[in-house]
Amino acid sequence: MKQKFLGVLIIMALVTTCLTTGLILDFIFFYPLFMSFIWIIGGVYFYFHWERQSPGAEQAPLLKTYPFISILIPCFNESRNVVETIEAASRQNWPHFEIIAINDGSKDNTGVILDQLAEQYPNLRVIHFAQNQGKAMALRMAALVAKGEFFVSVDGDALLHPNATAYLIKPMLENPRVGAVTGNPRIRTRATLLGKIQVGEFSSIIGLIKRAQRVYGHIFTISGVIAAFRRSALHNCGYWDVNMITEDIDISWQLQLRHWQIQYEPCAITWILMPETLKGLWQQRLRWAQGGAEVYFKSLTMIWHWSDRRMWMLVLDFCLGTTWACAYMLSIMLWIVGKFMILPTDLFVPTIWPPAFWGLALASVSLLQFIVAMLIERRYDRKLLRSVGWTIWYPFIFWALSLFTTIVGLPKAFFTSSKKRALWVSPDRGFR
Amino acid sequence: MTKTSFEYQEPILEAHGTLPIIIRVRDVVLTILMWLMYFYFMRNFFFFFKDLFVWAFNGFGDTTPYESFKIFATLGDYLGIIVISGLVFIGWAVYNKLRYGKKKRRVSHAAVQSDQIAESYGLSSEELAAWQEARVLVMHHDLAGRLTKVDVLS
Repeated sequence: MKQKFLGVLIIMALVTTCLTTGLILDFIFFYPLFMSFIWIIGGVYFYFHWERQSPGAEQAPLLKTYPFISILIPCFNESRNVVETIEAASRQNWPHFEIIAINDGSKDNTGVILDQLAEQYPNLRVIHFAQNQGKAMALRMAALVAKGEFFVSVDGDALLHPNATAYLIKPMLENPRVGAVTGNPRIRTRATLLGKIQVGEFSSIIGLIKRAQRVYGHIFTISGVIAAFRRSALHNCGYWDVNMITEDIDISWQLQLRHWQIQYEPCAITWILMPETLKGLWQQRLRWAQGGAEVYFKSLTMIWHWSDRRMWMLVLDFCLGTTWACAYMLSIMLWIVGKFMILPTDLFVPTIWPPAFWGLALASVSLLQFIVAMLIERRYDRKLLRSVGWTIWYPFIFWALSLFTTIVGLPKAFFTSSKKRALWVSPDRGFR
Repeated sequence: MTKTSFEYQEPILEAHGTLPIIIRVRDVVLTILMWLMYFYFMRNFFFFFKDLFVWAFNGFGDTTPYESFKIFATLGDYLGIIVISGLVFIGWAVYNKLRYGKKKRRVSHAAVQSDQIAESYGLSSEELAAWQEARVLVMHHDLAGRLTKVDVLS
């Protein structure tokens, strides 16, 4: 609880500083503008430094050794998707591997399907949980019974590209301090407006952020939907925490706090299903926001040692993002209050709309960010160019969603018991 | 490099047959309206190019009469901030590469052995070995998430 109060105090102090110095509107405008450019610069640097020479996802890299690996697939109510997920996993261009599917107490017939698939695929092993235990527990148990030193973890509704495993394992074979590698999730569901906007978002926001963070040296989070781990690194940090609602963010921080490197490999592609309804998208993003806040609270007292100084930027980035959301919400509240009563000059907000030039600058920079991301990422997604027309929504939808999920997610993380088991149900997976 | 022989199936789902046409049309119309709104608000920026052309045509003289040129000062400030922050960021990346690129700063961990894993979970090595060889398992946990029973089905 002490960490939670400290975490909230830091954010409150930052918001108060913005407010009392009269910088609140400047901060609301400049923070996203500045971050957009950092992501663009980081993404372009990553591309020229690491990515440009790569042959791309369609050619598997040639490795010196091919150790036995375990592909872990947690499944909860995945009867609709698990057959194609297992099929895609079984077609990896890798000589020796096992697939471990974990039926996490599903209510549908996922378990029956997995048992049938186990007869069809000789390298498929199945773990049934008597009761739903959550994704972190599913991964922990799969890691326990897995035979490989390297794990590839993929969600029960995701399709691994045949060369994804080779790309994920390569950095860990080349550098013994790489504890995890995260891949490049590409969106399959593109029927509705929300689906199409997310295609741009995954390139523009998630792809560029991962690249920029890799350039910085530390990554805020691996993508839980596709990642590879070194068993000894996981063992060193105690595996996945079953009480964290976003086990992927938590394991990323725990690994890096123990000085394991995390790398991003854009050629390791997996095709994923995303929500295509507002309700589904809200549930998913709220969980991400809450998860980020939980990890922030949990790690706050653990990162102040000098040897952990490279984690400070991740904490600062989280604090500034949260401060931005709080400052924006506060300015809206002050604007409303100002309509009914006289406020001191410093607290009076004449309008919640940014001045025309600011708003246009933000929108234009967001579009520029998308164009840069698309130029980098089009080699992984032949249909990415079709998303260009929909990008106009992205500056509004993304920042609005970030604002509201942060505002709701932070108190949720604050009031949720840190000892409560993290269980959740996947939102809708789009239209077929 | 080995070229994959697997003919990867088309994974993108556009739901051509299931999503009502009215929703598709609505999405297109709303998106066009958003673009029109954006270009409407951007019109002053396009005037800048017109002024630039007129100014150049008139022999690159005094810029004072051209209102849209005032945007230059603001853009210059932004550009300064962006260039400085970008240089700091790239400088940091280059510094790290030069300083630590080929240096092994930390010891490597040996691969974890099965008996270490068994010990960390409070299991016997034989028990864990049996589970690692099993193809289908059923696991039971208590309310606190502790493993209470494992049935090996095959």
